Amino acid sequence: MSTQETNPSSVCPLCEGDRGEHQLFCASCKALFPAQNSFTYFDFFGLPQDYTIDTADLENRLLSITRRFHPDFFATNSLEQQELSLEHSAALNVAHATLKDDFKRAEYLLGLHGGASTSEDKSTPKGFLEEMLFLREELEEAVDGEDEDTVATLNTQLSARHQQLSEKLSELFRNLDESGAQETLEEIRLTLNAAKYINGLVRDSSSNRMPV
Amino acid sequence: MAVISENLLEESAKLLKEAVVGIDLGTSFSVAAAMDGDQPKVISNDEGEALVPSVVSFTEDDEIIVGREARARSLADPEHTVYSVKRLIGKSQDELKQVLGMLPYQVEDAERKLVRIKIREKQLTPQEISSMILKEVKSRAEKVLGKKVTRAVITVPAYFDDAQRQATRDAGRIAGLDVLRIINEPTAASLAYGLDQKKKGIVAIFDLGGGTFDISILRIADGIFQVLNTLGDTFLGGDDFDRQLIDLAAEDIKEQNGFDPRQNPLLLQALRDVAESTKIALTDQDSAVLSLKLDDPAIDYQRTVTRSEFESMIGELVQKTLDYCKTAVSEASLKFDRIEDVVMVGGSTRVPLVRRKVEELFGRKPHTDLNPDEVVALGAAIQAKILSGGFKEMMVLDVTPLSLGIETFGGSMSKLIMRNSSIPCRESEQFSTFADGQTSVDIHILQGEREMAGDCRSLGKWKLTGIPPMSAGVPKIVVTFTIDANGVLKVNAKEERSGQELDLYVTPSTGLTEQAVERMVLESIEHAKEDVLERQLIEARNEAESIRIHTLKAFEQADSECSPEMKEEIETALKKMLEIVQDASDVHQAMEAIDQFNEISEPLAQVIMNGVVQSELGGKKVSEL
Repeated sequence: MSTQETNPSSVCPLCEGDRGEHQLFCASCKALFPAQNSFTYFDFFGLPQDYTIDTADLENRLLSITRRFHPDFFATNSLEQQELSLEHSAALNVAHATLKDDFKRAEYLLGLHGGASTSEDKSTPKGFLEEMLFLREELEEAVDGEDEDTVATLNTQLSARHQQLSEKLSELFRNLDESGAQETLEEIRLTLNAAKYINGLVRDSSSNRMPV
Repeated sequence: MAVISENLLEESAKLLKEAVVGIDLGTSFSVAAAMDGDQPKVISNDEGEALVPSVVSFTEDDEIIVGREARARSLADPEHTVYSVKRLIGKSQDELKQVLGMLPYQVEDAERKLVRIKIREKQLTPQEISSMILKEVKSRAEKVLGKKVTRAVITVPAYFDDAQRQATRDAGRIAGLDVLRIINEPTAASLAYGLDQKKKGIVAIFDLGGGTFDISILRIADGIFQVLNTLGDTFLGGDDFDRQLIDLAAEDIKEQNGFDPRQNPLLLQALRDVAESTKIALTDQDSAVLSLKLDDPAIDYQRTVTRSEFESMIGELVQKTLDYCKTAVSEASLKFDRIEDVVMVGGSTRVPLVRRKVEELFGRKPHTDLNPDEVVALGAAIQAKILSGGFKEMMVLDVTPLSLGIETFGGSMSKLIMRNSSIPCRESEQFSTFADGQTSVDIHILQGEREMAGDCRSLGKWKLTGIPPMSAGVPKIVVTFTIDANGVLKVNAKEERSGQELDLYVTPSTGLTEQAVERMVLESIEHAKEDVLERQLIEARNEAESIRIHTLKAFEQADSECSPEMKEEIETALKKMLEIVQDASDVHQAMEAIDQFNEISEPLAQVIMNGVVQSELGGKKVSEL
């Protein structure tokens, strides 16, 4: 899979000017084009399909690209252009939210590499659930008993474990680039499921403190 | 050619005297603003008043009075004088229990829990009442600016849900306005703040109005106003501060006189007035007198309230706003010291306790240079300019305040779009059928953060119909949920195997159906005959404007193919047509001028359509061939 699609023709069919590198808009007349199926979240930002990402760079790219699509600037254009503006802006925002988050990005890359998604296969690494069983009971007890100190301590433990999983993911993706092996994809999914499980635990223990 | 075009463009824009305004439709007051060059200005009347009280009063002979005069009538005729209608908009009666007891006018539950206000024999929706306020603001703006106002940006509290946003937009439509955008109040305020300061960095907008509270955290960089987090409470505002004083006085009077003055609409209104003025007096004074003197029933009540007493009464309410701030800052993964400025918005931020507590929490003096009553309208005017193609360097990237989801089997809420997602936003979900040959599927759409559907806000039931009959579980129905830049939801559905787009029938939980809005638009027109004419004239003017733009575009496209004579003839005709349309008091006159122009400009249309190269025809007009 190529890291970045290059445009087959650089002449804009609408203004006949140079349409530039991006697939979704013409750099000359600013018109928007529909996305092809192969267009990825990484393509929005002109980034390679890597797990490693510079988040500050991603934010800067978002700010410069978001103007190209935002409905504010298409309010006086044709309905078709307005609809593309809505579509691309929505997709861009989802792309940004996905790439910004380590686990969402991993999940998305897993899909691009053709691996089964975490919702299709929910299994966790060997021994993980046993490891969590005791923690979970302790946490539930502390939440029920409104023992905030214990909840905080356990949450710290969980986020440390979460951090470990995140590092594991980076390592796995580095291996994947070299091997591209099916087992590595498998292991990525197991790790993601473990991280999801921990997120769920943390959320459950804090949801009664939400101001809603 | 280009030079002529530009002049013509400018001149004809002047001829078509139309202004786009920003409107802050507030709980207590509404304000409009418009751009004066690159600076937004609030629209004030001859007496220098910019604030229009959001009060509508109905006289016995069916006259509708809006604004200051309506407010003046609230004591004389409290049952037929409607205020704080913003607290009712897009809400059902069960959600309004805490407010309804405090309103002297009658609120009834109509079909589908839609709240209606009963005025004598009539039942009016909050949308209609709001539209009357908007009409007043609109006509004042037209008088002051000397231009027609048909398009507007209207603000809403950031924490308004989909139903409240749609209801506000409907109010605009009923008032005869083309609502270009619904924008969040704190976000609008940040635009006004950012325009002045040419700011960069992270700011917090603390917006405490008459009935609602919002806290928004934004990052401003390179003209982009990016909302990072927003949180709020649509039932927390200055009205609740007043309520503390009302309750204090009412309990005293109950003890003295043996009856509860809150039960009587007139006394309640009188109490509201004195409570409000006491609160305002306590802004600058250390103590103020809360007094109510009446002959019938005989009440002679007087009590001194010190500022510290008042502060302890509202302490809990203010603490609530601070708790929201803490949550918003931590959810944005920030610390208070990263926030470079706190901007105070809304009249209730004048309360000294609010200012003091906000300063303590954020560790810096809040920014109070901008008039807290006006800053939202100013920002809305800036957004209106952005949407009309001006201010290309500025843009807003806002978020949705509440998570959106659907009810799943077993009554839980399955979230599809998380709160604080940047908008526009789009997510899809796949459904199928349970029975063989099933042709429709119902989905229940919810908004909120709670786990159970029953605890979330129901936006309504969507019925997807037209599914081609197949065995159970075979259809692949993909439902797409789009939240647009207004924060308003749109739903599409498609059956993937057949490629069939599905029809959607929406039963909103509290909002108005499309047909109901259309009917109200018409009814509102029927009320005043001149409105009909006005509307048709506006349409004619819009058409003239669109013709102008198309003609100029056509000139550009066919520049080399047009003879100077042809250009001149058409330009003169265009100017004449625009003049007539602008001055026309009769729609027929306007339409006639438009028809005449269309005839004269026919050759230009021919040039464009046929792609005829004028030079080859020796300068002859198409019609001469």
